[in-house]
Amino acid sequence: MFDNMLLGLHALADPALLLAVLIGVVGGVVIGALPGLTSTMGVALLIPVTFSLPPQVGLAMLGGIYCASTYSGAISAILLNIPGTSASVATMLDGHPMAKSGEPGRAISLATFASCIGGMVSVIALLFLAPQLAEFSLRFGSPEYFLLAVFGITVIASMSAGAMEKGLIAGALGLILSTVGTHPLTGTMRFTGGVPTLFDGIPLVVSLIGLYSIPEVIDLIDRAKGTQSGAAGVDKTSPFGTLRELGRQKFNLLRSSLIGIVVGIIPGVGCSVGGFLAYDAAKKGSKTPERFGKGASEGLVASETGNNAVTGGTLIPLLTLGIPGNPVTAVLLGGIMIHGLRPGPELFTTNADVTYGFIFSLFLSNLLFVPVGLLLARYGLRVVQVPAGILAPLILSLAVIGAYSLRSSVDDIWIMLAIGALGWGMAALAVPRAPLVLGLVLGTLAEGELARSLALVRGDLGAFAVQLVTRPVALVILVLCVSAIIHGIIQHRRNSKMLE
Amino acid sequence: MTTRTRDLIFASIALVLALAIAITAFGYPVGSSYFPRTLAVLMGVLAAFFGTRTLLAPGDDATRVPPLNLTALIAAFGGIAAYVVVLQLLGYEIATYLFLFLLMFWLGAVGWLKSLILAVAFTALLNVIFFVLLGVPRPDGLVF
Repeated sequence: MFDNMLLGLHALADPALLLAVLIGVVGGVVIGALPGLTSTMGVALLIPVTFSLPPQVGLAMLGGIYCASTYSGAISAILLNIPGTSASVATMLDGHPMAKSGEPGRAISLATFASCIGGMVSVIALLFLAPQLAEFSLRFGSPEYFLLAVFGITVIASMSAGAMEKGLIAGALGLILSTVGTHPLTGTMRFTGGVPTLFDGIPLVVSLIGLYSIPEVIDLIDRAKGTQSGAAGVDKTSPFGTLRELGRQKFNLLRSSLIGIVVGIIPGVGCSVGGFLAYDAAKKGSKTPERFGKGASEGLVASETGNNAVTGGTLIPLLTLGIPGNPVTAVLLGGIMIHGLRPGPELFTTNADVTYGFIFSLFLSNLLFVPVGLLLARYGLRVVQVPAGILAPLILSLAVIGAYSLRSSVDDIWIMLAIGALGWGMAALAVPRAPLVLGLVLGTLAEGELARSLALVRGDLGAFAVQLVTRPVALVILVLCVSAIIHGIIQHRRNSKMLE
Repeated sequence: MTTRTRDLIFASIALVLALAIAITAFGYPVGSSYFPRTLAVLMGVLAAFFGTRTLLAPGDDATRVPPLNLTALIAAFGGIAAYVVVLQLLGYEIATYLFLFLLMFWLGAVGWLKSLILAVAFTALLNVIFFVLLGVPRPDGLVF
């Protein structure tokens, strides 16, 4: 193995590979920072470019986009309260309040370095533990997936502390919205009103754009028309000053990285869930959980570390078993096969130079997006200085083209507008939006896997319940769910007593 | 409006929504709708519980919430709706340019000339990013 690693390390001496990583990282940072553009889009668009390149150079470019775009969604999430990608929704919870209180530079620096660390730890896991961790992913069947979705849903309660019923209602609404479209097993159309665009459900990216950008723009228009005060000034925090702050959060960084890696290994779960679970764990483990949601650095660090750690985790089942963990890795799988490579043991032996070269290029990508991201953010920080009367139309036009570009459908713009109206209503009624997003993300997984689990036992609820307690991985997740619910209830009672 | 009134409005809307969803969900076959049915009932129960708790809470909370600015609301939603309609008639570039120029000019952060320049520049930028670099198919207008 170490001989193969040296072969891979040697690939980093190739200037073409280094240039490919740089192009991928720069492209990824821009794509991730712009709401409406997704990592999947970036990777899919660059695959044809890689046809004429040697395999490790092409894969290095694609890996650069993947890592960088997962991180850079934090930039617009922090500055504009609009997630650049679905991975950065949890980042908004503390990133934007920190920016609004006059520390956007500190928020972006923390997010950048935390993402780098999360990404690097996950690549280390990929490098040394890929085959062993891949075996773990095979233990996940429908009951485990269902319980994992339930565990993710318990995070809704924790995120809504202080407004628990509102958060739970928002979460339930998100879960209901995820059922719009075709039932995963029976094919029944639900809540579509006969509109063909809704047959495939409500696209998550379009929902995120509507839910967050429309209320923000209305806020900006308010400000432009002079009914609200302006944003706080730009802070001049040195990026490297935040490294000392990160040094005090070693345990948070490690825990969030591990959560992200585990989430990434399980196919079909995604970066946004990694971010949310890491955020929730940080909140539960914090001595001052009441600061979360108001600009707590631990929350920001946890979500960014968690979501970037997912990237390396998703590559573990992809490279060892050929199982893509999310849409991006599904496209990457296409890229791998186009270059004549087959996922599996042979990728780490016969094609070791390509595979290890790719893995080491991911280290480089996670390092490179730090200066590229900080440089872009330095100009991005000026966004908060742009008059609201200019920013609002720009964001709206970006939201419209972003919503359209996902499926090249004008109907998606109307969906974005409808969800935007919902988002505005929620903001006006002080209902947290993050639980709705979590419900949207997890609903399809929860319902689909519940349906499959019940189909496997021919609808016998008793047999299904027995499975949940007799399968070892399912039992562990079930215990986690129960403890999360108990913790949520205790926290809620504590908060209620404090308010009295 | 006080926070109490706001919360009561939310509880009422949530309850009505839950009822509407439940009625629709119960119209689908059981095997295809146990998930939304359960969620609609849960949502309705939570809304009723929250509304009742808010009503029964001591009525001394006079915290007022900032008033809603309906002008901003109409500008945003009306603007986008008009934008999409014009986009389908006149094509992306003309619609985007008009939208940006008119909204920037109305918001008054910059004069008409700067609004014009910014509108053209940003339309061109979006065009290059999405249609040229990313290869997104341009939406067709009826005329252009």
